[in-house]
Amino acid sequence: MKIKLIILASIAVLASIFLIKYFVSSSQKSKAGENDVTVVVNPVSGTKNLDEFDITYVISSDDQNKKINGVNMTFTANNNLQIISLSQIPKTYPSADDIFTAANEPTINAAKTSLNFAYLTLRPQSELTNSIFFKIRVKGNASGAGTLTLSRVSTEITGILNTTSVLFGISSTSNTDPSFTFNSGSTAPVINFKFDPVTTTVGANIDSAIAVFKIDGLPTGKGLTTFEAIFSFDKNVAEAVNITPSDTVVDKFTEVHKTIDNNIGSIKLTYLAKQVEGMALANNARFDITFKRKSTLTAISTTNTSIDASTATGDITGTNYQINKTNGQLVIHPRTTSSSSSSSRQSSSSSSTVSSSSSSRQSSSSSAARSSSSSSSAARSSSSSSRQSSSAGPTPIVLIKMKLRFQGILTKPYDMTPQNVKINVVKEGESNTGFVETSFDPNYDGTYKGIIDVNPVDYNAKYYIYIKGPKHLQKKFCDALPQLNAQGFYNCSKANISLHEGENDFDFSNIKLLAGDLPEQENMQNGIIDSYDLSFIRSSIANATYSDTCDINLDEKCDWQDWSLMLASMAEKYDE
Amino acid sequence: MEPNTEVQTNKPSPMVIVGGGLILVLLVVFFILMRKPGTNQKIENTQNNQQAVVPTAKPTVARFGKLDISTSTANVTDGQDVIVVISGDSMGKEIVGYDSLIVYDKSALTLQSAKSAIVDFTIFKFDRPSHLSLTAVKNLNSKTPTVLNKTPMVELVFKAVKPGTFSIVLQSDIDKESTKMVDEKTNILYPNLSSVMITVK
Repeated sequence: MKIKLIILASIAVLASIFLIKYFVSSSQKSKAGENDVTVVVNPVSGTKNLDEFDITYVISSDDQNKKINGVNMTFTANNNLQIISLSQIPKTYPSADDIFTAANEPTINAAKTSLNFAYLTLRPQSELTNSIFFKIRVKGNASGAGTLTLSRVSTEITGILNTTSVLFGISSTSNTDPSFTFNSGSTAPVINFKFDPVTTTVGANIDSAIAVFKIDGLPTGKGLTTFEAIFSFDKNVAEAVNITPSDTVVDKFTEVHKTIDNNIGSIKLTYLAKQVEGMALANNARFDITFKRKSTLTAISTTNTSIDASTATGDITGTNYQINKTNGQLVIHPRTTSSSSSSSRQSSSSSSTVSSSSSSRQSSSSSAARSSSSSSSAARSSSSSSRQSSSAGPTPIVLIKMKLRFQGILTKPYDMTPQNVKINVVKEGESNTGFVETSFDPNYDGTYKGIIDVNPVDYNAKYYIYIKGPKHLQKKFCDALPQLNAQGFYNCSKANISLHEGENDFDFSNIKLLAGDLPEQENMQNGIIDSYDLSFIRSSIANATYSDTCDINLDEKCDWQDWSLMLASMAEKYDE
Repeated sequence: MEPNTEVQTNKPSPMVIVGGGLILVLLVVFFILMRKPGTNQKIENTQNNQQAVVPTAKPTVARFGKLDISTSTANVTDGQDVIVVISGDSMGKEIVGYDSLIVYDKSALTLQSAKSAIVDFTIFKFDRPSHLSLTAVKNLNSKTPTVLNKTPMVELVFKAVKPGTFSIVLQSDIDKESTKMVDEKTNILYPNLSSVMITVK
């Protein structure tokens, strides 16, 4: 009997245990359903080019009492999809308050197929919300399908329900695995973020130099809506002291960041297009960044001005341009002790003038560095001046700033691309044998401005300046401010241009550079307008094909206006 | 003994050998020195050419088609007009433009007029110091194909002002200019050329 009772008691205990377990289990199941949150993904599917784009994840609950205070998430990219970055860390939704800090920094594996990150906040419950969002930037790396999968097993979404800490689950109805089909064909256009020229030198006799950063290479008719560039340089070698945006940037963009941090050696430029109705987007940007040597520098040092991060958006299909980066290089010489004597050699210039002109000097030498023949130009200018021939020491800087007008461009051109112009400064009595090629930037009145340096210069001599545009006949200028005669022509024979140390400003914009000598093979012009040039324009118009070459007036069309301009230029036909 | 003596007589002395060697070395040095400046000059010239606005060298090109110059007034008296016609053969290509360089004695012939013999072409004439340069292009609105088959293209009228026998030559190149035709795909064709003789009494 006792044995029977023991057996029955055991069975009862076991049954109770099973029942208790069953009730506990069922209780937990219902609780898990109650503590689920919804994850909404956008876009969740679609056809994409092989470009980068963001996927937005919104984690939310209908219950205002459910407050989210942390996420730990793992994503896996499959097939033809790559993970680029966590492009936006978790923030409250929709107010986008930045309340989360990284518990585990975003980590992407080398194959770019997995991403893990964890963010949490210690803010009080009153500052938490029931919805948060973050963005993951991805990219198709080949045509075909690709998906981004959220690992639900490893995912933790934590929060507070009433006053209790909760581990939220993800509702079964949430589609957390966006899937895409990638096209092989088109990709976002590639544009240039570049230092041009690549190398900028702070010489021994000067204090600073200007590195020129440019954005260009946009497709015809396309513009920039936003851009951001972050640079780094060696803070022990140089410091950035000034950033000057070009007129185009000032006119067409709103500055968000233009910051220099010399403590870490970093520069950040962020701009948004103004996008005023009726105003075309800019298709280029330029910044002159003045670098100064560190006073502690004792030996020649070289540092890269690296373009670390960069983005640019525009009026293109997809979100971002692809960016081709060309980093810059700073070569910095230690200051020489003979600098005081060099200042005294620079005639009447005060020390402050010398200092201010030193930056523009570098700017021009930069432009000269782009030229293949600046040295020959210098060599042609002889050295008859006694100041030139006197021993070693810094060479005085002579800058020539010019304003030009191209035929057919009377107001701001639609195509604001800078134009390459060939310049030759020829001493009276010498022959015109070469040129310096430099870039001229458009102004809003249809004129173009550019700068070159010439060295050495005979200050007692008179000079001619020969100018040849990219599709134009060469024009000879003998005067600093040439004017048309009563018949509407300007032709000169006697040199009347004097050069002095520092900047020499010449306004040649009263005289149009006649268009018509189009570049042929290897971008060479032959110095005349001939049947090829005329036939090229004619065929472009007749066949309705556009090319930069036939667009004389830079209105991004090849039409009868370009034809008329060419015919008008036939009055001259030859380079002067 | 005699053979020995002969041998000793024919054998050059050490001074001669050393002297000859020195001369050879000097000659080699001389040629090297003479050669170096020439090489450098060549390099400099090449660089200058690369820097020049206009290339001075023109590649040799195959000739295609022909521009023929002819006259019905080969014998004229002083003061009479000389009428010259340039005809073209484009060998099936449709031509939309051409350049012609005409060299003649400007002291004997004075250009009176240059007119296009093809209705759809506009001619620009440039009276250069050494020659006449013609540039012609087909009108923008013309839809008529222009395939030249011994087709008269230009009629030139000169006035004879000096007795003698003179040539009028279609020249292939002068300075930067060249005689050429351009087809509708903007291919440049360099034609075979001819000349004509004029006798003025």
